[in-house]
Amino acid sequence: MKVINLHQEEKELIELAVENNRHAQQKIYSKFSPKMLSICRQYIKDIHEAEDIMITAFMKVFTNLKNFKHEGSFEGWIRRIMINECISFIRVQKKVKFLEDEDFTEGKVNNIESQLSIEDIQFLIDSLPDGYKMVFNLYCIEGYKHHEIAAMLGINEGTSKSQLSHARRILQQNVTKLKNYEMSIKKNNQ
Amino acid sequence: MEPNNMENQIKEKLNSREIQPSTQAWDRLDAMLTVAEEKKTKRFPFWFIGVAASVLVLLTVGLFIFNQEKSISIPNNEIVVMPKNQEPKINDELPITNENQVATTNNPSKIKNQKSAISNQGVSIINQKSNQNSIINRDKEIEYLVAGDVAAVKDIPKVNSTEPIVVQPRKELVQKKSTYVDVDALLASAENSSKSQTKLKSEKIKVDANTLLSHADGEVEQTFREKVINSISKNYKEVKVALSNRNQE
Repeated sequence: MKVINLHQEEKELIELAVENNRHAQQKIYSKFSPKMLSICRQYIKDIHEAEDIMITAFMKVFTNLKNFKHEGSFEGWIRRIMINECISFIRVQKKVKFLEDEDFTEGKVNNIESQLSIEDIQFLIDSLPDGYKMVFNLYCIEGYKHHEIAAMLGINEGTSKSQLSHARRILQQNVTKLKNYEMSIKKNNQ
Repeated sequence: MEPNNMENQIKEKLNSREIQPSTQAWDRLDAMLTVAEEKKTKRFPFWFIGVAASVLVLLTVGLFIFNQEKSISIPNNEIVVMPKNQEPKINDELPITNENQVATTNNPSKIKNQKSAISNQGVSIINQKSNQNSIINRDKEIEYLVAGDVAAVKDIPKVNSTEPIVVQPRKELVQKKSTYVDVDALLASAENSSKSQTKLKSEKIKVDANTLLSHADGEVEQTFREKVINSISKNYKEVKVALSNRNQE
């Protein structure tokens, strides 16, 4: 009952926002902006740049709101717009070029039992080059398949796979580095 | 390769993360939205005007083409009908028009011929009596009479009805004029050769007949005022001629 009410509320809010009702638009913005800024921050290291991208993406959300068919979740729709905006920003502004190396080796991944803080995770992702970061985010966090990622980034499916393996290798290395660093700090403190 | 523990952990933690945007962020978005709205409201009339103009242009072009087609189709129908029915009609009409034209053109030409004949007579008189000023004046008078004659020619049917009344003054006038002209002729004969005199005599009769007729007809039509003026001018000319004659003697 509550879920239906919420859904109904969201639908009404969207309909109002389509008619340029600023209050409804602000409600949608304040509801989704923290999550969306988090997503943008995954792709873009600079928080101010990430916010800029989020604003332009929200602009696109409101201008294309009449095209939203109420099929699937509204959040997922906004999320996709955010990710596309981030990808286009990185590709245009940062001129990321993907190395087309088809031959890659899947390195062994050690299962790390230790818990990572959200700051550690963001640090690890920020340490990745933009190309690797995009593929990693799209594959591991958004759950896209390699052929979807290849289509989104305009690259070969093989390139997407190789980018992911490179990203994973770097992440593994960085995780161990981070753990070693933390261990040394702990030792020093003791 | 399936996502490992670490990746699952990253995914869960990142998806649950929320970063509160700065307070200015909404203000900027608000400003962008208002700008977009203004653009939309501005764009609408232009688009509307464009559509209206194109519709008008299409309508006018359509009407033009439609009318053209109509105007072309009507002559086509006529062409089909005409060769059978209308060609003979044209042939029938043509001679009639020609006759009418000839008739109408002949009438003025006749009148013109008459005029020219009379004027030629007048000219001959002028040539013959060019030496005398008095005679030149008279020639002018004759020309004036000729003008009257043209008017008379137009009113011939009317004149015919009043012929019996007009005939008598004519004869008197002829006598008077002939005697009058004889005096002139005698004066001229004193200077000119006998041959020219005979010519003059032969032409005199003709000139008198036409000019006096016209003169008489003109007088009938003249008003009292014109009659008075004419009589005064006549008397003046007579005096003038008399004086000139006396001077010459």
